[in-house]
Parts: sequence; structure tokens; C-alpha cells
Amino acid sequence: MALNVLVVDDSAVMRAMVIKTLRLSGLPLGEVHEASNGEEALRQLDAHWIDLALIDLNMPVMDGEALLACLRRNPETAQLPVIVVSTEGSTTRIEALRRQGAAFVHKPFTPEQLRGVILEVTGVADASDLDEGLGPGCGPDF
Amino acid sequence: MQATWTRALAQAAALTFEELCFVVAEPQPPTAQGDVRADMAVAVAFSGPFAGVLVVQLEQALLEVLAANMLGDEAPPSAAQQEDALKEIANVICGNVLPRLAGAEQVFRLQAPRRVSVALPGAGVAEVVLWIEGWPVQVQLYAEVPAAVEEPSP
Repeated sequence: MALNVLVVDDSAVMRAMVIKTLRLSGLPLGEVHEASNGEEALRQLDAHWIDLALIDLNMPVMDGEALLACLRRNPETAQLPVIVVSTEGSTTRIEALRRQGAAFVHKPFTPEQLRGVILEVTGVADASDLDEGLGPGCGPDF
Repeated sequence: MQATWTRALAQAAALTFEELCFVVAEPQPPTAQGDVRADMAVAVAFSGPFAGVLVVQLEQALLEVLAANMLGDEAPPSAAQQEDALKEIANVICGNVLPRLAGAEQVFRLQAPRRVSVALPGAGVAEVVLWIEGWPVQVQLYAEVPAAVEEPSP
């Protein structure tokens, strides 16, 4: 089954980096949607079926914490797999995110780190099945 | 305190350039002289246990290289992409240096990065110049640090 993914970040460059990592990861990707803040993300979620959301924290209009709270309050998205991709370094905030069922990837990340968390969260494939998709040395080719 | 902060700033910046931009950033070589020439500067304001601003400034030619590395595309990055790349670089450096200075449990709020004048008045509490592929990049940290956050005297 192909995964439909939503990437939420106010930086277009960072969205491009995350999407490139997703494409290199060997994951069975379906549609990839983008949003630059939490409100846009909610509109994308209304319009499309999403299997996995990767969200930044510090964004204008609606930040990632508010978006995550909205997702968890809505029965339709309460169980949506979410990975927060952020520069956040506070263990206090990261623990609060984990309590809401979000995984966490710290920026800067290597493609391998992001892939590992995606595999853990989605459980779509065993990592050993995907080694050809994103092998060692993929970093400089990002 | 200044040496500790400068070291933390250099570590956070080097990590960011290595993992976000896929380049090696080295400390200022002893032969380097003069001020860093900068075509663009970006600032990230933050608040929390202490408040301040982190500024990253560099030359256009280096920014083109960094943005191209981040995007990994054949086409050269547009001016908007270059500015966005520098904003993300500054954001990531800031997010990585603050826990090194205040402790991992402390909570800071970072504002959206914004372009600023390359000529900032006054001196920061920490400043590093790193060299990437022959170009300098300057990272400055301005902060109002309460006494409780400062290092105790030896």
C-alpha cells in the first residue's frame, strides 16, 4: 500500500529536503502534499487522505503544537502517525509531544535518521528490505 | 562565560553546516585577516530563560553553494530559495545552540528568521567565523543573560 504523506514546514527548502529524503527512502510513496503552516495542513487533511504527517513546530499562523493538538482532538485524525521534525532541543517540549503520540526527529537530521523514524512510525516495511533505496553515502547526494 | 558560549556556538554551527548543507565548516584559519564580507544576513530572535538574537551572515557565492547542496537539484537555486535556505540554517543553528547554553530541559521560543542589515551595531556575547570551501561565514549571538544563567566564577 502506498503512503500518502503531508509535509508541513514554513521553509520551502526544508520541505524539499524532507520530500527528497522520503523519495530516497524506498518507502512506498503515494501522494505527497505540502503545507507551510498548521492551518494549511488542516485544509490539506480535509481534502486528501493522509497516512503520515511530518510537521515542523515553529511556524506562522498556526504552529506545530497547535496543529498536533487539533489532530488529536479530531476522531478522524486522532491516530494519524505524526513525526515532528524540528530544531527543538528542550526535553520538556519533546516529552510533551511524545505524550501526544508524535515521534520526533531533530534538525539537522541525516537521511538515515529520518528514514529510521519513518520506518518505526509507519511499520510499512522491514528496514533490511529498503537498504537498496537509501544506502550509505546518500547524504552528499541529498 | 564567553569562551564556553563561543565553543558551543561553533559546535552548533559546524554540526548544522555538516548535516544540513553537507559541507565541512572549519574554524577561522590563523592566516585569515580582516572583517568578514557579507552580502546577506539573517537573524533569529528568541526568548526563554534568556532572550536574544542569533545572526548568520555570509557571501552570496557561499550561499549559492549551500542552498544548492540543501536542495540537491541540478538547477541553480533561485534568490528566494537562497534566502529561505539561509533562514533555515540560522533557525537550526539557533535551535541547537540554546540547549547547549541553558540546559536541555529549558524551553525557548524562536521567532521566524528574518533578513537584517549586514552591519549590526555592538558586539555579541559570542561570535565565530567558520570557513567553508574557502568562504567565511560569521555567526553572532546577542543575548541579555540573567546572572542565574551565567557560569559561576571559578
